[in-house]
Amino acid sequence: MALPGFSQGIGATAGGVSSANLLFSSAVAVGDSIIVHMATNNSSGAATVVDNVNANTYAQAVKSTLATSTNTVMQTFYKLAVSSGAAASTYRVSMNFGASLGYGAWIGAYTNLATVSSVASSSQGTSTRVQPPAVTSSAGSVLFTYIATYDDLNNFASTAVQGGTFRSLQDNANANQTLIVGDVITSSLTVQPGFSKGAGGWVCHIAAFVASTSGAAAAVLSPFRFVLMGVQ
Amino acid sequence: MAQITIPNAVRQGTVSTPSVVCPAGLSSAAIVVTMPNQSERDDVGNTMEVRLEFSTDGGTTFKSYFTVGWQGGSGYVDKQGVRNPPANMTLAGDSLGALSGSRLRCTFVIPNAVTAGCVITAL
Repeated sequence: MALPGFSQGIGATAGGVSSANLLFSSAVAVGDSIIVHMATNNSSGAATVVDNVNANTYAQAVKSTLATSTNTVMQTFYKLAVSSGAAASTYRVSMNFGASLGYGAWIGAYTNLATVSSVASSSQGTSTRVQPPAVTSSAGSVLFTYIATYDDLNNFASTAVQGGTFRSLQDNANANQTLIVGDVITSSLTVQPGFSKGAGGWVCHIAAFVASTSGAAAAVLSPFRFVLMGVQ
Repeated sequence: MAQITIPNAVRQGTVSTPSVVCPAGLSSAAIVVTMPNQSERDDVGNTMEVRLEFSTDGGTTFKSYFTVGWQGGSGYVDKQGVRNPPANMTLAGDSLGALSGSRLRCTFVIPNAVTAGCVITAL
């Protein structure tokens, strides 16, 4: 089974706004999958995500709320194996929050993803090691994508990630809402990547997407199971 | 770094600012909107669309890479304690490097006249 591949990504932060749309700078191909991560500073800002090329809203893979600051919310959305692609600088992803807020966001395109795994998981803590729980996929050739945010001024220490690949760091000063993104593309079944930051409360979650066995798109196999591990 | 400050003025309709040339190795592009009148920010009838636009043909045509919607009077208080703050937006990522040398500008779409300006920065 071939591994998934990373195609492109772009990140953004904004404040005082209720909607956003972001443009992929390179072409999006038929069969690519799109992952959308966001962190917001307003719990009422539950996002809906659409794009200008393919119908239907994006599915939410996982949502996490920082227990010590319930206005700090992270969401991960996806649309697998798009049926229509678009040329460079024409594929636009739109997020509507329904309320004015601050956010950090990232959109990424990947190849060869077919299904969402049911191993999504979230954790919270205050240590300098920011990581989701270890998760195990039921199949090899997996994209594990993970994000974190915080509610203080103790920035992520660097863009270095532990056990994964750094993709984006938005608003590390946390003026709007910081978001850091990493991923692991692997044939290993179990991973526990992480970030490092100054001490202070954080929330981190991870989602997994399994590669196609045949190269053809498949339906989502099962809904995500959200597991809140509690404060570490 | 390239930066341009667009002074506050009463604006309405679709208004595009002058553009700046993005430096080599472009890693981020930002627009910070200024709206000095609190009463205008508190008015729920005031809305604004802010577009961060690049031109790769020397300024002949521009395309929005990041657009946000702003609504007055929402009651939102940002982390700096500002009530109904004007929009700020930053686009960042390695893929922006491909836009080095392009021109960057802001376009406002403002249905009701408000006093607004902005600072545009390309790093």
